[in-house]
Amino acid sequence: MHSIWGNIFKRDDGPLGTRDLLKQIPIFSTLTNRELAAVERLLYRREYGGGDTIFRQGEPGVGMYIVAEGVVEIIYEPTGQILATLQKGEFFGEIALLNETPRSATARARTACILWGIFQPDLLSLLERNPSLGVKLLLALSQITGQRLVQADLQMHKLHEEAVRLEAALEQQDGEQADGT
Amino acid sequence: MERNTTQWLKTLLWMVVGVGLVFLLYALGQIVRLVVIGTMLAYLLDPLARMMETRGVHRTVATVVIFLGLGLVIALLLFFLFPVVVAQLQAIQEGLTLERTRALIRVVEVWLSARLAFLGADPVNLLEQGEGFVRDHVADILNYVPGVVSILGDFVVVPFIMFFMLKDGRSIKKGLINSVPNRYFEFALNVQHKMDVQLGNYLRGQLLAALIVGILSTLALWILDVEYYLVIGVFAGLANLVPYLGPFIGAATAVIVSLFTNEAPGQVLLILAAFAGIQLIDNTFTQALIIARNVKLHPVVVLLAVLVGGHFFGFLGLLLAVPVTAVLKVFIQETIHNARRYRFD
Repeated sequence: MHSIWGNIFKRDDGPLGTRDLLKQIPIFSTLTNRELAAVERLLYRREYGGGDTIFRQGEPGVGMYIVAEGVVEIIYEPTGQILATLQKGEFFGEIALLNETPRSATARARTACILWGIFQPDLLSLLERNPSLGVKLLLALSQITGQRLVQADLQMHKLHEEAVRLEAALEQQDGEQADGT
Repeated sequence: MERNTTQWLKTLLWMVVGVGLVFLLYALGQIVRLVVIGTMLAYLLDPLARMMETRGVHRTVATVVIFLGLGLVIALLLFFLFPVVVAQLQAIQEGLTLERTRALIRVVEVWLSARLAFLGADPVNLLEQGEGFVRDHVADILNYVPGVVSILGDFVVVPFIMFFMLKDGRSIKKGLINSVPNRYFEFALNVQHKMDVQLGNYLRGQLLAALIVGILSTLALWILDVEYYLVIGVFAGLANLVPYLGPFIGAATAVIVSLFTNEAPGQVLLILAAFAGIQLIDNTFTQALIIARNVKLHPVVVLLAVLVGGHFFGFLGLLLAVPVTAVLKVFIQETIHNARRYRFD
């Protein structure tokens, strides 16, 4: 009996736990349940073994991934430096949703992973079919991109100040050495 | 060396798989034909469903509305145009026995005999052959009684496939892409998207152009009082699906019919002028509609595709040869282009 009522009134929550996962992602956090259901239909479920490459630096980017299970590493290829380690509820590759730019780093599964992928062609198609939802998603994406830009700008400013300071120190050192000789 | 052998084995394996696939497709010809037609129709109607979705209509409802609308249009066409087409075909069948037609064919026969005299014996008997050909073939069309399998195929299976492809096409496509292994997943997604963008415009543009040419040709021939205007007009529209050759075949059919049925020679010139005008309109509009430079096919490729299509799949093969070749061309082009970008070995 319980199961019958359970079935009738069961809210269509999409694939196991995806809705809660999506709500954690800033891009989707403002969406209604109905809108989240529309986004869920666009998701691709991908499984990776530990050590598998998700995408390589320099390849054309087509979309972003959300970590549902496991750990993913973002690696800068020439040096092999690990730029970030991502876990459940975190996401990467979101810039590729806006523009097909080459991937700026490699993504590799550190452990066995389950990822949910959302890709630009599907986002563009959704934008055409459901413009109000599309605008919400694009606004959220541009806000995130804007925040990243501000952060990058701050970092660049700091680095510039650091470079100026080091240059001045070097000049001073050179001057002292010249005075000494 | 070892790597070379592996590469060769790989290539050989792919070739075997390819040949096997072609053989399977050929063996399942009838089924493949139905699936291709159903899928293509769904693909062509997709923008309409999307437009309705944009206005908040659920995909399933949109599909049902399109399906019913299309059924109504076809029913109306059958009701109003079918009797006229049958009457015109019957007239064509009988028309060949007219005295004027016979006299014209005899003139051609004498002209040919004089020039082909070196062949020795009487080389042609156009009248008998021509009459026999038209009688047999038009009679075939008129007496065509489709078998149970054919009715089931054309009137049940095609709409069935079309309906579900239109309704669930997105999830079917998604399921197919999702089955691609991780290494090639993003690549497959990219190729599919690029193909969609290029072919969508091209195929819909071609169909719209064929429709415009068909309607304009029918109108022009009706105004010029050419006999069998409806049959020739519809044929000219369909022929327009074959680039380079189609427009000439359409015009040639109208000119031949005019020569055989009309006393005034001026009509031929008017027909030629009308078809030239229609081509001008078609080219101007089509250029604006079809934004798919990459789909441009070389005339030789078009000719070969039409020959192969016609040889294996008959009349429908002739019509579908060019769009199918365009699909293959874009697929190969995008696969090679993207394989480089994804740095596959």
